[in-house]
Amino acid sequence: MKRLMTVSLMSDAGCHVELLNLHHRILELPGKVSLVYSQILMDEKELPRSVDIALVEGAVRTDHDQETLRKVREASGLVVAFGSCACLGGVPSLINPTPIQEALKSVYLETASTVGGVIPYKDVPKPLEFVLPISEVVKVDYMIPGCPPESDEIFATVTSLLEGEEPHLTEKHVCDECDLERRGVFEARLKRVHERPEPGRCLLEQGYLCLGPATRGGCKARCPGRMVPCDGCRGPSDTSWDQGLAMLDAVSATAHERIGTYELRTHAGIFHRYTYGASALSRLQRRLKK
Amino acid sequence: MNGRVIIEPVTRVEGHGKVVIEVKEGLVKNVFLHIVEPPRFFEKFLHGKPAEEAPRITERICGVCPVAHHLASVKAVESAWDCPKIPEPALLLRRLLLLGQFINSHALHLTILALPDYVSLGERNLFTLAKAHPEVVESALTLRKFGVEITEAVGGRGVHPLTAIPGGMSAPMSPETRDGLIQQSAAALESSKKLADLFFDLMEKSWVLEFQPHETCYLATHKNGFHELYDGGLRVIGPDGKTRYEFDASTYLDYVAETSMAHSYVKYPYLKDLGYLEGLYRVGPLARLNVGELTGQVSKAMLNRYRSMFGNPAHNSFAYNLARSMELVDAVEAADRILRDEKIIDLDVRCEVEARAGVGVGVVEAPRGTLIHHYECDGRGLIEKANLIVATCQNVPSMERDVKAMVESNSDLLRSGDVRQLAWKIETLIRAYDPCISCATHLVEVKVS
Ligand code: SF4
Ligand code: SF4
Repeated sequence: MKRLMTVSLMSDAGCHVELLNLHHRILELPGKVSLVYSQILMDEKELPRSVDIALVEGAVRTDHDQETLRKVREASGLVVAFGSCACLGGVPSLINPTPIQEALKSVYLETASTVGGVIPYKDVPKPLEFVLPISEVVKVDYMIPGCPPESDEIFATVTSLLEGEEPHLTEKHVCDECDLERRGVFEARLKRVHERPEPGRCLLEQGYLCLGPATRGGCKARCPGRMVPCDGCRGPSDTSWDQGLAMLDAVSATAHERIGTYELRTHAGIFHRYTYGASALSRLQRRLKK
Repeated sequence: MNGRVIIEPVTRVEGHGKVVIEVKEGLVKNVFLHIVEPPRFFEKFLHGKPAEEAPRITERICGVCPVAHHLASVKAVESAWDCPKIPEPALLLRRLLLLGQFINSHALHLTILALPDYVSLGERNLFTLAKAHPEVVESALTLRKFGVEITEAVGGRGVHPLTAIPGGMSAPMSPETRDGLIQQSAAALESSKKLADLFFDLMEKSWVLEFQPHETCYLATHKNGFHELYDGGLRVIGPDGKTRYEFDASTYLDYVAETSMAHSYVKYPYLKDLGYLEGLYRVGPLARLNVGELTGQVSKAMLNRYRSMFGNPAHNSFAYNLARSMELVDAVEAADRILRDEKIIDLDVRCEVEARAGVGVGVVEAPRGTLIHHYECDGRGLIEKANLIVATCQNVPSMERDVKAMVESNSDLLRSGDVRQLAWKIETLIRAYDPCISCATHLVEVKVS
């Protein structure tokens, strides 16, 4: 029987919770695979020496993450980046434009409720300069993007890999799965989600920044289906190398009025919410630092 | 014996922690609970982000209690923007969403994380439990499914919801969705009651009743003295159970402060008037039941048994598990009530709101305790400053003190070198708090040295 482990680096465990959202299907796993290590589900404390498949959740933040990831790579036949943090840096990589010392100082010494104290240093892992997607540290064999990925997709990917088949991610975009009505007319004024979009009509056309055109489908357009613009959680499809730049390019012609007034940190939070760590900008910043 | 005993990582908890026990000449010198979960700096990178997007950004602090972050966040924005009262159907949807989270999170913790400690199994995990007690796991999974389906139906996604928007909810609930959920609620109530009864039976015979806990203050939300999760005021009670003060969320900075420690990525909150250490307080199910009375018919009926085991207020940290199981029953009852309210399918779910400059505080009860989001917005409605006090952090200092007490009362295990047994006891204790470590750093490493 094939051996599987699940690991989490810097993450919120959301991907593991989505794995549990397989509900009763999770009990089918022991018949197919032997789960040998999983911090949230089991007591085993030592990383195994060899497994067939490793699902890695979370991005690389500290020297400890980096070391764990290298050990995981060495021990595993296949490494699967599990969720948008692992694949693309995820939401926590939005800190990358800020120097790490400034970030530490701000959070541990300067927030409104903090009185006294020190920046933690004793027996805690050391933060690296930047948050990195795991592919920046080790070779990654497969990705399951999403924040979190869809449970059906997790099940399908793991099942394919166990059976020695190529897992398949859709090449469609979110727009291809979206039922909202498109009329081909675009609003020039950029709108924000609390402005109450008209139900039933394409959000982008109404002036809301929906990242549907630049985002890999597979979620059945969850967000636009509830009249909330897609914020891009599944990252770019295989045909695009930078989700945020592709989207910025697409809307700059129509929504230039307000977009021009925003600074980089605002743009990063809108266009690269899940992908900043893997973005061209973040890569450039890392290169300059070297 | 000299040296360090290290338990790392603490397992069956959400996140990364380690316990270090320093031993000198056979005596316990120091116990550190290191939260080694990498820091994620949400408070810092929120700077410059459109405030209406904060509910979808900050929920990525925690994959186990995202709904609580989503809602505390939207409440903070609404308060900063002076938003009028949201329509009642939207309020009902938010309450239901939060209850879905409680059902899912409490069921997850009680069965998958905690239960393996209280039944005899070889290896302690979900799969061995499913083999030994299939009926328990079956009903736990059914219960979780109910919670997740509520979250998905109201929030749009099982883990990270997306529908709470300043001014209300992005979409109403359809009658079909409502009917589908009502159909599951009777079975869910039955399962939750069975699970709670099982925990009571197990704990009544368990070694954990002898644990000598520290007596602390407690903080929780209440409404006229009753158990409350979404709004209401905050109340702090002393170790004697008497109310010390009550306050409104917006004034939290007058009552709580926190300090950062060299050995941990979580900050240690305390009550300002008592100062650090003296002012330790606890939050979560234990605190909520000490502060406010339950209102559900079935859940309320369990209180007598609970209080005969732990007293009132309850201080034993292991009582967290039973408090949690009663809250689970209560949440299923409350969800059923809301689902049967006709207003839940009303289409009026949004009101008009404008982005503006202002300061806002949003508080809800997360499964692990009181959660505070505090934002300052500029004239464009972009966030300029953010401060977050998350549930688990508030319990970490008490957890550390409890671990020390546990090590001291089990020094025979340390002397005989039975570190495995000691580690298991410590982890069982930590797990009773249901720490959410990634939440706390936005938790736990055990070293014995
Ligand atoms: S990808 Fe999303 S759900 Fe998964 S760990 Fe990262 S923040 Fe959590
Ligand atoms: S619509 Fe976009 S943000 Fe929403 S789940 Fe799909 S990919 Fe993620």
